[in-house]
Amino acid sequence: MYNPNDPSRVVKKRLRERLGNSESIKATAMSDIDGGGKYTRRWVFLTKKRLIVIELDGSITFEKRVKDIESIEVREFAGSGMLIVETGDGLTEEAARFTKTQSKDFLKVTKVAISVLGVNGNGNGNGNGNGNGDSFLKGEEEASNGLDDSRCPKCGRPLPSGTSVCPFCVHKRKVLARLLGYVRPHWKAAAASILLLVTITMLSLIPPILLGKLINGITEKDTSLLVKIPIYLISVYAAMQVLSSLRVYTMGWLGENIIFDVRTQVYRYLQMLSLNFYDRRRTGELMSRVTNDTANIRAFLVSGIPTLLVNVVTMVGVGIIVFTIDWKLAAISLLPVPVLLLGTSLFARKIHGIYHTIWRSWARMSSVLADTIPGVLVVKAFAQEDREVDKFEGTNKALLSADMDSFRLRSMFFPAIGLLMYLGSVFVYWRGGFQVVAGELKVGDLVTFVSLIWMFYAPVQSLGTITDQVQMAATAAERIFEILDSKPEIRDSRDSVELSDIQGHIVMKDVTFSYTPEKKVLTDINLEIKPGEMIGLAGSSGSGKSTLVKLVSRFYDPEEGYVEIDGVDLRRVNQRSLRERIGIVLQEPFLFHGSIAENIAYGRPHAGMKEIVRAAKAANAHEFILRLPNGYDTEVGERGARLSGGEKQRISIARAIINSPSIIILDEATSSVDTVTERMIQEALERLVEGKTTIAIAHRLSTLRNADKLVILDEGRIVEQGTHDELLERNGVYSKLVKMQTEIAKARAV
Amino acid sequence: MSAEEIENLLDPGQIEIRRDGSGKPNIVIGDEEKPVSRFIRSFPLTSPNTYVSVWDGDGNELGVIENVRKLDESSRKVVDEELEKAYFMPRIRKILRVKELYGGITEFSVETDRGYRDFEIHGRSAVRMMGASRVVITDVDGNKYEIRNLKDLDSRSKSLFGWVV
Repeated sequence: MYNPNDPSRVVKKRLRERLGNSESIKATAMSDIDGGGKYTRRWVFLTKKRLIVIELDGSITFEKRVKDIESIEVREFAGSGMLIVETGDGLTEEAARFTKTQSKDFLKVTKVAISVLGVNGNGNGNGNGNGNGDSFLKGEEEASNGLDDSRCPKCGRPLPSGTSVCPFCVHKRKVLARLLGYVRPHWKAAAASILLLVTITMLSLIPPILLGKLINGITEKDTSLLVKIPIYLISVYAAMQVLSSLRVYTMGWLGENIIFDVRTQVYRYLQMLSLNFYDRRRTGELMSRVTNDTANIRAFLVSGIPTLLVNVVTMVGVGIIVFTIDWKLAAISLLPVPVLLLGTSLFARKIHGIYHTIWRSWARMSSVLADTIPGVLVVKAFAQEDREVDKFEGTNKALLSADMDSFRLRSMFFPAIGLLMYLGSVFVYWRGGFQVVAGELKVGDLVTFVSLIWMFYAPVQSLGTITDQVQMAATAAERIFEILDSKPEIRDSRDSVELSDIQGHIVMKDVTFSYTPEKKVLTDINLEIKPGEMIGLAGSSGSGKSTLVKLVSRFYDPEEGYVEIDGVDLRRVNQRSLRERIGIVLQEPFLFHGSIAENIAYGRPHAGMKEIVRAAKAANAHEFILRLPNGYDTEVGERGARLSGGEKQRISIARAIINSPSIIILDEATSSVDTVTERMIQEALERLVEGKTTIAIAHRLSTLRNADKLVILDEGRIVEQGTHDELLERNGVYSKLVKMQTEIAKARAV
Repeated sequence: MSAEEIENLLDPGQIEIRRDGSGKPNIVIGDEEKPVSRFIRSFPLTSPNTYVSVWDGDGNELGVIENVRKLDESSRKVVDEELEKAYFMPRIRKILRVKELYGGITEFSVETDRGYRDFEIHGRSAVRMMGASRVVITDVDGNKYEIRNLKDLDSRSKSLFGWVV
């Protein structure tokens, strides 16, 4: 296949001439912008000896010997990037420019240059701080893609947003075969459904034949037929209806049960997967897999496959009968079929586009709603009601016009198709009429013929859309299998150890961790926390505090080094037993839908009322709970009682207390409340942490004053450790932070 | 608030931006010359030439240029060159082909002021209207393209564009 990223023949030839045979290529990238900012195609080759750039016409635009290259780096901007080479005398040169489409390949080139050839990385000579500019650009890029990979690693085509399943690389047959695997446990129901389906379809072919015979009976004045045939007809119709009702039930049962299995399995997997699976995906998109994708699969199993089956049986059956009656007439009556097929598939494509527009208009309208209804306070506060109404009206109008497009198309298509089918049958009547008059055909057979032809036209129409349905089901199935096939990265080893009574002695040794290969979040962390000790973690945001506590809870495993609790490496510890021993209070407490009591007892569902009240008291939550009319039975969560941030926080502290954990993690637990509430929470926390190993993260350094030891992180490294007084004396990062915060506090007081 | 000056604003008469021996941009403020790491647009989409921030290598803002056009000729040339490199956004002159592929992805083939280009976008959300007739399109890889004025496009391009939006 043609790939624009592959070097052209001219370029390859030029490269060979230049390199000879001994120099092999270590890395390649395609540069698609020239020095003047125009689109172009040139190729960057890195060998052991040189970095060379060759233009499409074979001219060399850049060449440097590796030993002359002091350092190499990729600088990324908004919309483009640059490969920059620094030579010995401090001169920097642009080797190539490229669009974001090529960034990955260029990063690979620099990586190879740095790791294989030993060139220096990112401008250490000039103290270049491009990190500042890049970090916010990156944020924007991620928002537009949602995933790390925006292109399929196999075929390079862009991926639909929110998935890593490429519709082109989906192995349709394999996926559908696997989907049918879910039918196997219910094979009896499946076999019964198919049998019913085929029987009903064949039965449905009988009435037209009987009707023909009846008419023949009338014209031939055969009264015996006039008695027999209505009886046959009634029995066939009755049998069809009985079997149909059985069929509807069995197929429904089958479809629902299969999808029940799939949904349960997907949800169980989602719960088992480690946090890093969730890091890379959006909530709404994962929810849609459990709901929309399973619904698509059900539609395919319950209506797609049966319809296909019915259609094929009908067409074969009708075909055989009409061709036996009169093959010439049959051949003529099939003339509209190609037009029908073509018209339907054309229509399907057109209407698909329109439905897509309708769907987008819906999405836009809902997003206006989702924006303004929760934000109604802001709208009113700024008196912008009229503008919001206008905005809504705009999206509503777009929806109207898209809807009308679909009606217009449908209002033209269906009558046209209908007319075509009528024309076909009129033609058969006309032609058949002559044959009847000539005595070549009986009147009854003509009637049979025309009714059967109608039965033939309908399936043809639905076959025009079958490929779309298969495609949709296959993609939906693949998206579900994507979840079922991901392996949780953090698993309990077979000989995992149960942590029961622990002292809470935490040791981190040479721990290094990163979420993505490009950026280390924690580097060489060495830390010991003795049982019962409280340490405070401080540092600017992004310094790795939250990541450090996530490693202690084993939401992630370190890349290098290890984390131990009471001398046991966490990788050998049973996850469930570990989490039961750790109490976590987060910055923004998340409460589930349910009563306050249920929320407090979340970690110990069988806790008694006494324990719940005791925990709430210790958390300073008891009093405010009793002030609510339903006390501990008050519903919280999305539609429940409105609790303030501080109240929620105290419930979440009670939730941690009731587990009587040995290790406590406080993640900025008091950052978003007023001073009085802060004191209440502070008291609650002090009771919670008493005698237990505690790691507290805080922005407000005042909340860390009780800590036995403070650990200051900066860019993923521990830069200072010691007590409050020791660190102040050192006059380092910590004392700077303290000074800054006291100044802010003073300014506020004024 | 509006009458007051913003902090760190550079007086176009008091500064000069020039390249040092190795081609890197430097800024001269008064009688001090400092190396510049980047020029950052405050409003890259709506007003690219105003409030351009000048940063040094340590991520500190050295100052803000209120309007690049008010700089002297040679300074302005350096800033323009640097901005052009950093904010690569070809201008679409003609839409040749638009094709809906799958999963909400649409493929464009366009003629720009930088040459011919094919790119793919994620549905309608990738097309952002800036006012009545200016359009900024972001492709699946994060590259940006601009239609300066929809009205100036030929009728075929316009109808192809209308098909997407």
